[in-house]
Amino acid sequence: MSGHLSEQHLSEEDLILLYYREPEARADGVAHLQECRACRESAKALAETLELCSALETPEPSVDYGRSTWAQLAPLLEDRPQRRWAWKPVWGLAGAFAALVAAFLIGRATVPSRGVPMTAGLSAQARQRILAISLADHLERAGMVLTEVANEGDPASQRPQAEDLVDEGRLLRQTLAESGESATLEIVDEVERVLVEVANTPDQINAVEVRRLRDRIDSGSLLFKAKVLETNLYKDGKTI
Amino acid sequence: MRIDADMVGQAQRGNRDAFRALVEEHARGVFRLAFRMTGNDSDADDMVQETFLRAWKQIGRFDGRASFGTWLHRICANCSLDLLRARKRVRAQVFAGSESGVEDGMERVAAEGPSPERLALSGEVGEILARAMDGLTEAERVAFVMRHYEGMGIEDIARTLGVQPGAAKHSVFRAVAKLRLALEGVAR
Repeated sequence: MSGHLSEQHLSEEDLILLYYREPEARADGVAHLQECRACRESAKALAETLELCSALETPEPSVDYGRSTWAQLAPLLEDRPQRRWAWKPVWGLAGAFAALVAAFLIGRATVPSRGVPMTAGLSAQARQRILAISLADHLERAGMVLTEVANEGDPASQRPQAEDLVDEGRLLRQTLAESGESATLEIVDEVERVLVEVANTPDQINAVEVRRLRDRIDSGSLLFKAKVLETNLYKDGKTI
Repeated sequence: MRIDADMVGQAQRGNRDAFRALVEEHARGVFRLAFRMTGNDSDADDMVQETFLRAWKQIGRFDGRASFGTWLHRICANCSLDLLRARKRVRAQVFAGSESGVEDGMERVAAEGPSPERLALSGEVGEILARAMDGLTEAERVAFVMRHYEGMGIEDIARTLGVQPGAAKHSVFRAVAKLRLALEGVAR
């Protein structure tokens, strides 16, 4: 192989782009492969791995999968569908977890088998980071509830989520108060007050009450403030 | 596809029967994609539901530039990304036992024991590959599935992930590098 050619060896990234025939793959890539045995070997090894990946099998859905999907879907389309699933996999797990984290941060939770506080061994920085992420997650879900109430028309449909948030929010707010985060606490308190109202919404709520609830959400740019705080907390959770 | 175009047009005008035909036509393909994204059939079923719910809600915005199937697959990729991110957030914190653990936890999806779906894969290689896929970050997994299994270009992947093409490309690169490492000794 000539010195000229070896200087142009193809990197793994070049080979990947060539394999997938991406437009930005090196223009001289194919020609280089014809001339360079080392790169050809690398390309072959890469192709073998990627071909193995192609063998990843997926369970084959039954022939009537489309029909059964529709059967489950159809009632949801009639009844404000997008809400139903959205909470299902995320909500319960995240809510239970946030409560656990809050308990953990304020030192209530212990490792069950040994009675050791779960906070043991964690630095203040690590605790701060976990608190930031937990709060961000809490605010994200609270924001979803408030957005639904502000945009649609049926606060009662958000009651279960609001109840969960109020429960977990209690512990998070206690943690915040103990750590002296008063500015953050103020916004979380504000969100909490509206969530309590949503959680206590009666089945039959009149239009005036709905209007009043929406006004509370709109007043003081609550959603905006919560969103900004959530974004900052996520950022802090990664960088603290 | 002509039939799709007709059905989509009718569905956009609120025709539920037309949308039903589209669901029945595309559900299996969406499921396969969702399974590759999530790694198990229960989550895949949820993703299929969510994909069609979002599709129904947003069908007025479908402009026909891509095929309807491609559009659905993009929605499914987004739904899966949301799920994987939510999963990561929860797991990252659950598995954070120390300061460094927090960091590690943020970047990984915890490996679990083989599920029934896994066991149904083709033997040991399937199991290794499924575990390796679980070891990818959510962006790497979604980018790799779209590139490798869906044949989507980097630009399309970037649009779906909401990132710059360079970032999408590097997600694919990192995914391939991790998979090569995991499959070392199996390939060849």
